Amino acid sequence: MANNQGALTEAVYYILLSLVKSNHGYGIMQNVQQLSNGRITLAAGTLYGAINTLLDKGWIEALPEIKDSRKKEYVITATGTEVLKTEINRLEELLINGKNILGE
Amino acid sequence: MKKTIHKLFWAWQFEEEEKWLNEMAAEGWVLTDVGYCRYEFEPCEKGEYQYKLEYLANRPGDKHSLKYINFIEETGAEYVGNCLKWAYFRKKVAEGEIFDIYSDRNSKIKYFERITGVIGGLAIANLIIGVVNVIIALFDGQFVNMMGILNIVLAAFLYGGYKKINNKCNTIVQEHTLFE
Repeated sequence: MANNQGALTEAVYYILLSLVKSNHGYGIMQNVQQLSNGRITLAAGTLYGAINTLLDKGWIEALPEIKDSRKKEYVITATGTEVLKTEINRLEELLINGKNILGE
Repeated sequence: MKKTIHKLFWAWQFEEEEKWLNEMAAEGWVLTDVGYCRYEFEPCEKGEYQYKLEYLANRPGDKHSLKYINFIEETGAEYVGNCLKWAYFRKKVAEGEIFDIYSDRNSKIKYFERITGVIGGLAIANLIIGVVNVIIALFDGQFVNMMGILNIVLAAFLYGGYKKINNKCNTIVQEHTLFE
């Protein structure tokens, strides 16, 4: 497993989390806002760029388009889930070290 | 009742342009169509809309652009029109809400670099053409080549615009070394 993949951006981390269940662009924006208690507002252009990069990387995939619906839905892939788990381990390490050293 | 206003903004004044369009919306005028230095407005509820301009990565009619515009519209914004590769978006906003297209430093930097790339390229092209014209004219024994000088002046003007956006971009790049 790639333990040294580096840090995911906040946007990518929350987009991947939002796609554990399939969702469309606007749904991702709403979900991220909800998950972060309104702290993060993903703007559409940023999201669009991130989705395309994630598709290229194979971390998410587009679902076959449903008739009469113009909204494209996406879902996380096995690779994407793996990346997410590695990131959660990394974040845990950061948290534990920070809390230990600051003595909280 | 419609109203048409002619006004000139340079490419590097897109934030001033957005501000002006937001002020028009605050006064109850919504932009319905846009062209070269031409803005068409219709009455609307005061302060109903916020605007964002974006320099598209592809030509407005291109399938990548259509896909992109469609995506933006799915998120509740409307595409008003375009002038060259500049797309005009508006969104109905609640109070305190800010309509933005790029929300993190990474994507903002990439976007600004897309604009400075074009303006910088134009500036360099004009500079080269200008210098070549002046030199060729000198060999022909002509000491003042107006066309060449005009190109050089234009290059300097474009460079001013390039600097303005590049400075903005550098500030974000600097913050980006500390924060995502």
